[in-house]
Amino acid sequence: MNILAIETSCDETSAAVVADGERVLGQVTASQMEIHRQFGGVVPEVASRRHVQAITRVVDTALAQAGLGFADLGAIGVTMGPGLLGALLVGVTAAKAYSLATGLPLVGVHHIAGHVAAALLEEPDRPPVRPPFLCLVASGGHTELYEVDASFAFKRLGGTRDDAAGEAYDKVARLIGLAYPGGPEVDRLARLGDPGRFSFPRGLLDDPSLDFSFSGMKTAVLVALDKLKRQGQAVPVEDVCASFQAAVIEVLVEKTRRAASMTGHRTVVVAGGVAANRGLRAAMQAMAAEEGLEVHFPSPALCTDNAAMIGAAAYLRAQEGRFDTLELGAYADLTLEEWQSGRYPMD
Amino acid sequence: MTEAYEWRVDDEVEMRRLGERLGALLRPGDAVLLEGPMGAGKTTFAAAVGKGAGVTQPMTSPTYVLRQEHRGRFRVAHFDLYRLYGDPERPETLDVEGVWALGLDDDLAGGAILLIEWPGPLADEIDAYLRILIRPEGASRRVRAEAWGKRPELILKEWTAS
Repeated sequence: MNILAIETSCDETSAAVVADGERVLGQVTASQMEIHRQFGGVVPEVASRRHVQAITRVVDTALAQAGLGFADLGAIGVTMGPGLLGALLVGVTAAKAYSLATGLPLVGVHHIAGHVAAALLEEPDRPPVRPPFLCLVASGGHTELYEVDASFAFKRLGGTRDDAAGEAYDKVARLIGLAYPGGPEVDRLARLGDPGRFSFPRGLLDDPSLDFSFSGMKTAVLVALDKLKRQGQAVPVEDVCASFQAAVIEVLVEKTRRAASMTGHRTVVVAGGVAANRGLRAAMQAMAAEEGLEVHFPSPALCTDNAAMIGAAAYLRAQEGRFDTLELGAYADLTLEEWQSGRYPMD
Repeated sequence: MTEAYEWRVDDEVEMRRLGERLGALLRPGDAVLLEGPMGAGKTTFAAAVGKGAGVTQPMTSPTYVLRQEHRGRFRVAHFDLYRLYGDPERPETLDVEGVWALGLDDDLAGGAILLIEWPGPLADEIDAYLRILIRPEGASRRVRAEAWGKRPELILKEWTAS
């Protein structure tokens, strides 16, 4: 079954055509990164307007890339939450309009289920993964560990109690004067620095839970920067990045190791924007080799927000015959539990 | 402003206790503006206020989603406007229209308790609010509370007496 998928939960307007939940036949993503960089951050009104301007164009181009028309499709998948409400509404409204015009059934998809489903897509250097597996989702808005069963149902094992890992990256980048969003730049600079130069906190590392805490990191980096300033020293940006990255990665890797040993899963998927981080990839692979685990990362292009991953998740939902009606809404705070149960929050 | 009060807080435990006591006094429509530099503990304090208002789930940072809603005894709307500044060092670069687009009026009209981080010039557009300033002093914090308006004054009085 071919699915047209749409994702507009935050900064990217993305459309894709995915066959049988695993082959990407076409995908187009219009990024707003450049615009937001000019403003220094996200401007929700601007984001929504840009989505409106781009949506039909990316859908048309994705279909053209796939060489298909609406008559060749079996369903339309769309991100229904969580995310910025105004941005989500553009995608959901477009999907409903296409559904109404073509008679194709609708499938609302949870954004995080989409990130995890990215691992189910076929890529040139990587075979698709099949559940069950253990999954770490780390992005700007999320840091969570899930058990994903054979039917692609999620069980939350733990998650951040405060900041997300990607958020910690962007904020520390801001503290040391890098442009927004600074995560990828921190990853690059970290490779040039000394990870042992500063000792930053490993939040909740010794806590038996599978929860994370990254909010203490900002304070610790601030204190270190303050001390350097008082001593009249220049900020060794590369060393700060390397030390910060070492702390974040250690916690992510160790909690994942613990989760694998607690649940007995031998397959681990790392998804979300932070999964594109090269330092994290190397450290996860080293841990997996030690523990005899198999670890899978979607390619960096499928780690950041994209519609193909939504198509993969929509396919599984469609296989179970779970479609949505034209009443489908957009929900800024949608939880995975709500999505799985199909009991969406009331407006 | 009519009333102000200042605390010296030595650690996170004390900070949480102070926040929880405030949370217990709040009702939908009450707005708490949280100011202070990055890393000062605004989110920690906000989470404690939420806990005091009966929120049992961990209150994660709303930075990415801008507004996050929680349920305690009442609805608690936790905002972080940080990403809505052109330059967070320059308050005038806040996209104020963007803030209202997050649904602030419904919350202020009694829909939810509002906890707003990085409020900047938004204070000029809200009638009554409690303003909390957190200043780091080494490992400890100086917490200043200012009441702007009748109801906030009452809250501050009860809070300092609790």
